[in-house]
Amino acid sequence: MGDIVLKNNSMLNSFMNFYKEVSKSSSEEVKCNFVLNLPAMIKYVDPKLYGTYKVAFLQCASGDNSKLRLYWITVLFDIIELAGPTEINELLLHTLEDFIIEEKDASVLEAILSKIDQIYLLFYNAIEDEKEAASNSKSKKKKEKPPSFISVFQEFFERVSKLNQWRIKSELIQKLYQITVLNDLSGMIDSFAEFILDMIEDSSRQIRKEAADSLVKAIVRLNTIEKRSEIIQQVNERLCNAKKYQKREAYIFFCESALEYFSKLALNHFLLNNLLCLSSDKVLSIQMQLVEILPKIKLAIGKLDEVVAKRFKQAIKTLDELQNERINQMLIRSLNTIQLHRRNKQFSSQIEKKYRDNMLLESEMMLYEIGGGTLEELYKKEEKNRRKSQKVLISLNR
Amino acid sequence: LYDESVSELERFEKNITSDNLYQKVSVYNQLHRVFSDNKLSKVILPIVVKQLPSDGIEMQIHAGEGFIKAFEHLPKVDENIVEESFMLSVQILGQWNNDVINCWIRVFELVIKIIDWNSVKIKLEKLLTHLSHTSQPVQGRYAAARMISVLAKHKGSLIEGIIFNRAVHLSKDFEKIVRLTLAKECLEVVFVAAKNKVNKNILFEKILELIYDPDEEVKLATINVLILLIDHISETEKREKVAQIFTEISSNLNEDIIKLMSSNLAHIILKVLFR
Repeated sequence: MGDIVLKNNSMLNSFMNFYKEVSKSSSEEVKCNFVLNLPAMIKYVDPKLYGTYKVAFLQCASGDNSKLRLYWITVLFDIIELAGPTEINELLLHTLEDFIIEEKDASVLEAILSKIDQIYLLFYNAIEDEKEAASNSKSKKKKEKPPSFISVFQEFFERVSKLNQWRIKSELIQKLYQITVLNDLSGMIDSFAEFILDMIEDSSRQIRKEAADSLVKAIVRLNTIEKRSEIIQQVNERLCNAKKYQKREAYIFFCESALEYFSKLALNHFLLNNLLCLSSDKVLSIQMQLVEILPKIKLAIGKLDEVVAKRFKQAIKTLDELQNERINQMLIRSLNTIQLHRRNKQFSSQIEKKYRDNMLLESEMMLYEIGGGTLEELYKKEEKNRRKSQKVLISLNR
Repeated sequence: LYDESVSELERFEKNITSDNLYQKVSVYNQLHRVFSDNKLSKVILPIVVKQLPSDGIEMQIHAGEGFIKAFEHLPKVDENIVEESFMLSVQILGQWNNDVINCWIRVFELVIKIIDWNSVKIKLEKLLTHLSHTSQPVQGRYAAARMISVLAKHKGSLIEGIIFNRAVHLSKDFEKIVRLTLAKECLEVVFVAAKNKVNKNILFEKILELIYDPDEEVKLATINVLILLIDHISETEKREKVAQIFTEISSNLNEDIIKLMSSNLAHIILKVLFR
């Protein structure tokens, strides 16, 4: 804050009186101005101003005008930051909770969504502080209850997911994921998985892909094996054998993402069998997607155990027997890639590590395998291998 | 009916001289075509210049839209066409109909951007002195205010002198519409354009006078100008005058003024009371 130029504060007092009148105004537009000016007033004029206008500010959250509520949520975190941690109290959290529960306007919901991870942290930290305070106090500990705000969030997510906009759904998935990784997930993972699965069943292709990817990442972060397996089983049940091909497609997305994040053991145990069964799916695009990820499967698993190896071969055979030109072309390409991986065994462990650590793109990894070089060189190499792969295919068929 | 044996020039000529409104309008819709062809423009433009000032309001607005379209779409316009268009635009702007002025001020702006300033400066000074004179009808003074704001926007300090003085003169016009136009469109750009300190001070005093205008709308527009000009006003003036004025305004009970002041309050306090 700069120095005040005037010898006395009388002019500043006049302005502050005016601001006081503004805070009490019945005009919605003036109230919007009150809210929008508050962060700058706190920052530049008086750091203690929040205390004076706290009640007026919090009342704006329940205003009838959606523009006012939009401005309120827009400035909220600036004000919290300026007002300091002592102002994050029950009154504020209670207002915020009501605000989230009652909001129905799409633009305000979107604004809440953009800050939902910050809001979540606010509640989460408050509860953690409460727990800490309780454990420090000598009084008898109360029985721990599940945090009530979780249900507020669940209800909010459901409301937002009904706003049928691709952009909002995409942001919703990202925010959900951010929230689940913010803490130990204990409170959120069940509802998160359930929610994501609902979204997978009910959304566009891109959303399904994003949702599946987020779910995999969230599962990896879970601490307990039981919980992980429970959710993966749920995914298997709801997606792999689903009637709708969109769900089965989502299953492939899920597995594709899992190939990057799950251990070999988990992949073998939970996913591979089901995934390879999709080679005999009745929808061509499902089979095509399976063919596309075959090299990734092979790369992630490395040496397959006998049962899975048999299953893998069987899947390739099934796909080849389709006698579909596009599938065949893709199959040759995929086998070609697998062949490339196999021929460079001396690098494989290194590559696999690098691949998993850095999540290299497949093409980059292939370049790495042939010892660096240009894409042109890679294509030449590929062409040479193409014929060899055809032979491999024939031998597999036998 | 469309006659294929008639050349394009003949067709344009026939249409522009026709008594039929639609045939004339069709030429104005194709004015960009006329401007891009020397042969066409040499014949058609003089006819337009000759007859448009005596045409009705509707036709003048159609023609104005044709000129705007032509100047906006053509990458380069012949110098003679620019000059003819300039002369026509100032003639039409002096014709005292607000709707026509609102349309032709855009033609005037497009022409002013590309015309040689020295070739039109004296003409404009004479015209604006004439139009802004108290004896002229209110529309003339309104047109003058709008023309000055266009000139200040595109010619900057080149307007200092006679044209600048006309802006100062118009600030005490007895008609609300002139003062309002000046406050809404002209004062800010003219103040920013002026480089001479004396001129700036003179205009600043006029702005402060307009803040106390008896008409609330003019007052509101001028307060807005003062807020917009905060960064262009010297520290001394901010300390000695502006702070006091804003303090006074903050006790005003007019709802629109409260809205304006409240939306800019933090900015005003920061700029006026702190350094």
